[in-house]
Amino acid sequence: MMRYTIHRLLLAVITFLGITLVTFSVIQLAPGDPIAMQVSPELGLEMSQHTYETLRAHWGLDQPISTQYVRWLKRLLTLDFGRSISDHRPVWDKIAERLPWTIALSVLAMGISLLISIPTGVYSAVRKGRTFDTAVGTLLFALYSVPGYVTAIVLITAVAHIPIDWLPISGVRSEGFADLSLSGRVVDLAKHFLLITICFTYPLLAFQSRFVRSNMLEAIGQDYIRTARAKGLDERSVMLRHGLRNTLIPIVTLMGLMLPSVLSGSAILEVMFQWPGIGRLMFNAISQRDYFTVMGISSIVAVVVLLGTLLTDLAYAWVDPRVRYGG
Amino acid sequence: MLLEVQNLTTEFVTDDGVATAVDGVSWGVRRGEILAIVGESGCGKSVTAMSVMRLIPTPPGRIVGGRVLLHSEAGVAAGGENMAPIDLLSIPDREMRRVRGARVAMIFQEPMSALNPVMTVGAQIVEAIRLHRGLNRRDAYASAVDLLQRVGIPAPEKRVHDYPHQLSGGMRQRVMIAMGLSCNPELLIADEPTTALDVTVQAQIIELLLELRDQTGMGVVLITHDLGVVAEMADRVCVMYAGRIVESADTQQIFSSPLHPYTQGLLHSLPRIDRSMDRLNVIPGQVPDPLHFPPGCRFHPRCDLTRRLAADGGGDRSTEVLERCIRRTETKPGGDPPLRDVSTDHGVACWEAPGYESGGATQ
Repeated sequence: MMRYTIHRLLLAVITFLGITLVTFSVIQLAPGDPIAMQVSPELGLEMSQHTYETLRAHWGLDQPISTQYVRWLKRLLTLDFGRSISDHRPVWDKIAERLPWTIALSVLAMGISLLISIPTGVYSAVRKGRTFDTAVGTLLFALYSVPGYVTAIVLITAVAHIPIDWLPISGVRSEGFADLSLSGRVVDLAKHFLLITICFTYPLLAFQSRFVRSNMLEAIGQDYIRTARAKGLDERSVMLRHGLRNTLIPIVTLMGLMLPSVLSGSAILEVMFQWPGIGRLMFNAISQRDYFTVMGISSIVAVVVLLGTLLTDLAYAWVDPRVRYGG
Repeated sequence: MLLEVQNLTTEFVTDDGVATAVDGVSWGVRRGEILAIVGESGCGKSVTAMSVMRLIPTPPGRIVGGRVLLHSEAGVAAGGENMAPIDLLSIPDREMRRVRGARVAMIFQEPMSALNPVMTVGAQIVEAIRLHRGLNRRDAYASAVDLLQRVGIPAPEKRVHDYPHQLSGGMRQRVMIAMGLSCNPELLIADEPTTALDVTVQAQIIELLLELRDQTGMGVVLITHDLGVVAEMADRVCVMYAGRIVESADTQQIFSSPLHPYTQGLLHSLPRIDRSMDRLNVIPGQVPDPLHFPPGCRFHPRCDLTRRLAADGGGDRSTEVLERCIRRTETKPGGDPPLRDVSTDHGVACWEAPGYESGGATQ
């Protein structure tokens, strides 16, 4: 197990280097550069060639990409992500204030969707072909076909037009949040979370529920289910103790695979709901060619994803003894 | 009698029609007796066993007729009153669950897939013990260790915490047997218990089952296609073909004087160690599709007798026989000959078997 973990960690480091190198090259190859974007030509402002060259030299952008990448890596070793080119704040600070909001949203969406999708998926499998299964299946398929951002547009428009005053459609806090009592703050936060969480959760829910159902169906068809019945166990124990337990293995895998898309997939919704998460930060950083912020976010997401994959494999070993004793 | 199966009929509904997998099968097994049900793949022997346990997946399967009577041990009932047998096919699910695993246990072939891969073997045995014997966790584990010891697993106190994939095939089958025995069942149904195992391991498992039968006095129903296993284990044999029993007798008689052409064919197809053969003998043709059984006796297209006579092409005798085997439909639409006793405890279902026409009561 120890050797396995070390092996996996080494692989993760190599993967990390690969990811950052590619990101670094690609963002630099994109047209436009952060210095030129500092000024808006449409406002009639212009930058002298001298100032431009000086600023480029200041940020080290006059160096070849390879040199820049090595410099960036060296700083990273001391956990220095550099400063944002657009507002000169440390990249780490910018990320640190945004990351919790994205993580909160992702965990909430994953948690809610699992809480709903496991029971519905299991029950659909047990009642395969009956009314419940067909009804839920149809509903989920319909939901799955509508992307979250489409629903977001509908919801935002609806709330704005009806209007539903008490339901905020952007940001995470109302004005005067600091003056509210503790319970008032919780309610205020919950209101802000409501719409974006709905838009974020239901596509996951639809997908996971079908996934749980098909895996549960496969488990139910196995011989050990017949053995469990032959022991005299009631259907509930047969399904939960023997069926669901085996279904958990693919579910854990799925969650690991979904982590990257959940973390990055929120970008569109974050922009639409003015959510102060890293998705929106990334969106803005890319449009301003803010190289170091982009690199900072990519690194953090890469680390989270790699850690997530590692944890998935460890969790896998926990639910599946065959992996635990394997190699 | 311990368990009596009467006229059991089980069907499967398929897209192409209704397939009768088990068609009016009757047999019985006594305490301490090993009854073998033999036949080719698809003859309905496993479906028979699953029907007894009421483990037929419904739909597509359904038990459409018959009774499965489980008798209580004579004299066990308080006051010596004669306890009525219970019909396993008509009791509610709740009661059936109290029978499964407790009074009638079943073990399966392919112990790798029949054991849950994510539970320790101990946990799987303990599950049954706690359910039926109401022991607490610690006593149940102690009992599981005892059982593993009894079925010949070395270091059972360690093995009890192993997962199925950590054991060899033979060990897994021993675990299955331990699980089956965990609640001291009166009847053990063993569905191809040795099929997936090496020959040497097969012999050990057979030895073990015989030993356990002697110790506990339980009845055993052995489902197998392996006549070698039958010869070594069984007291009595029922031969099944295409969903029906074609011959039933004690093991000695089946091997020494088989009466049904199918049984004769099966025995004839066994390789002989005392004779050199270029090819193994086979029964020509294939098991009929249960959706389209041939008219008359459903074995006739493969039957030596009818084929020989048909090849003769004429003669009063052959016409008469062919008429009877192929077209006779007086007993039921299918026109199969019913199973009849031709001598004590020797039943056969063939118009041409010696003594059949004058034979005793239909079984």
